[in-house]
Amino acid sequence: MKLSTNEKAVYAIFLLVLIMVNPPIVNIVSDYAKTHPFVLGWPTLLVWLNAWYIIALIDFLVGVLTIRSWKKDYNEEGTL
Amino acid sequence: MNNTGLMILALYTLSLFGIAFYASRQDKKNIKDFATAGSSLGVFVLTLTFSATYHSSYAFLGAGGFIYNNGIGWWVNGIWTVFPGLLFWVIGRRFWYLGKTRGYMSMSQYISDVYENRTIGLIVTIIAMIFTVPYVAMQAIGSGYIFQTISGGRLKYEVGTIIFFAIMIILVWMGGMKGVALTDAAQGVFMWIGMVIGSYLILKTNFGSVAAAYQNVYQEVPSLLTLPGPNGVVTATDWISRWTVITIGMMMFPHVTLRFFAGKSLKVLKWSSVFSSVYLTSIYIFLPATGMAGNILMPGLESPDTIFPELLLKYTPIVFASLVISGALAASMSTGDSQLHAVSTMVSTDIYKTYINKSADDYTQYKIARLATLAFGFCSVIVALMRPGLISDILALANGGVAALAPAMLGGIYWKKTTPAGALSSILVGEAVMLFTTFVIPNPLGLMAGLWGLMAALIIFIAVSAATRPVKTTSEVIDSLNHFFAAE
Repeated sequence: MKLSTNEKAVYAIFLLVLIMVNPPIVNIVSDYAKTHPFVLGWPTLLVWLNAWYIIALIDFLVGVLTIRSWKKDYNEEGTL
Repeated sequence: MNNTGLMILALYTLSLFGIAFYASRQDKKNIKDFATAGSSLGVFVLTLTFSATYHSSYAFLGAGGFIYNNGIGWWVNGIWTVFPGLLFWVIGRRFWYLGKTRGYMSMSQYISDVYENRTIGLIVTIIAMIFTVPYVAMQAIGSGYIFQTISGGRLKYEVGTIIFFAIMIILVWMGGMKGVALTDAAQGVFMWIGMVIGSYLILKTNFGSVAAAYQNVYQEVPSLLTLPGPNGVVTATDWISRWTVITIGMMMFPHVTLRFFAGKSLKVLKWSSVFSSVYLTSIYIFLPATGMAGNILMPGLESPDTIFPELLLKYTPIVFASLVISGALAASMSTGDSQLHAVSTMVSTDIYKTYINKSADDYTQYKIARLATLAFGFCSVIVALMRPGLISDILALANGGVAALAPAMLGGIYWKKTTPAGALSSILVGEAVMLFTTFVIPNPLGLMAGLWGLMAALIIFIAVSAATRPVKTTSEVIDSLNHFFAAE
C-alpha cells in the first residue's frame, strides 16, 4: 500500500521515539543521570522518557489532523 | 474502613447496576448487539471502554509494587500506554472496515475467512479462551486482595472475590457490550480520579510537591532514579521484552479486538485512539513518584503490591479514599467484565454457531452468550479461589500466549503472500516455544518467554508462507483494505 509523505513522516517519528526510549540510548541517558540526577528539578531519566512520550502523542495528533487517508470515513454505500 | 466508606462502595456498585439496567433497556436481544453493541459506540464511551479495559488491577497493585522495588525502570510502560492508541487506530481501522464490509464480529471469524480455513479459526478461539480465563481470574484475585487490604482483613479474600464476580456477571448478563462499555466509561472516570488525584494528594501531604518527593527519594535511595534499579532487575532484555510482549499481546486479546468492531464510524475510532493514548499515559503521571516515595513513607513492606492502596488509606480523607478504592475495583472490574463478555461472545459465535448449531438465529446466539457468561464466570471464580501464582506471572503468561497469534492475525491484513500453512504453523510453533521458554528453560538470555514465542512465530510465519501457496480470499481482503485506505 502506498503511503503519503505525511504518513511516512508520522511513522518515522514514532520509530525515532522507540529508538530513543530503548537500549542502548536509554542506558546512556541513565548513566548520565547517575552524575546529573536532576534536570530543572526533575529526575533526568524521567524527563527524557516523558519528553519522547509527549513527542509521540503530538506526532499522533498531527497525523490525525493532517493525513488525508486517515480522514476517510465509511457508510454502507462506501466512502464518505 | 468505616461505614461511610462501605456506603460509598455500595452506592458505587448500585450506580453501575443502574447503568447496566439502562443499557439492557436499549438492548435489541441479538448477538450483534451483545458482541459489538451493534457498532454504535461514540468517542467518549469507546475511549473509556478501551482505556479502562486495557488497564487492569495491575494499575493499582502491580505497578506501584514494581516501582517501589525497582524505581524508574517501570516507566518503560510509557511505551505501552502511548502506543496502544496508535495501534488501536492503525490496526483497528482495518478490522473495523472488514467488520462493516464482510460482517466479522470476532477475530476467529476473520481469520477463518481470510485463510479459508476453519481449523485456524478454531485454534485461535481455543488459545484466546485458554489465556483469557486466567486473566479474568487475575482481576478477581486483585479485587480479593483490595477488599482484604481496605477492610484490614475483616473482609476475607474469598468473600471479596465472590462479590466481585457476582457484580461482573450481572453487568455482562444485563447489558452485553453496551452495558459493559457504559459501565467501563463510568469506571474509567473513577480510575483516572483515583490514580491521578490520589497520587498527588499523597505526595502533596508528605513532601509539599511532586518534585520535592523525587528529591527526597534521591537522598534516600538514589538507585531508584536510574537503571537497572536497586535490585538490578530492569536490564535491557527485561525492558525490551516487557514493552514488546505487553503492547503486542494486549492488542491480540479478544476483549480488545472486539472493540475494533464496536465504534460507530472510522472517525469515532480515530479520535478514541488519540484520546486513549492521552488517557492511558496521563493516568500514571504521578505514580512513579508515589511508588518510589513509598520507600520513605512505608519502608520494608512485605507485600509491595499493596503500597498504593495502603498509602491512600493512610494519607487521604476516608471519603476520598473510599472513592479511590472504588476506582481500584473499577480497574479490575472493567477489565474482568470485558474479558468475561469477550469469552462468552466467542463461545456463541465461534463455537456454537460455527460447529454446534449452524442455523442458530441471532436471538439463540444471544441466549447462548449469556449462558456462557454464567458458566465462565463460575469457572473463573473457582480458578481465583485457588489463588494461582503471582499476578505478574499470570499477566506474563497470558500476554505471551496471545502475542504469538500476532503474525498470523496481522499477516492477513497486510501481507498478500501469507498462507494458511504459514499462519497455522506460526501459531503452533509460537505457542510451543512460549510454553517451552516458560516451563522448561525459563526466559533464555533474560528475554521473556512471550518474546521468544513471538519471534519464533514470526520466523516460521515468513518461512512457511514463502514456501507455500496463498489463497484467493487473502488477496481480496488485502486489496479491498489497500484500496480503501490508500493515499489519494
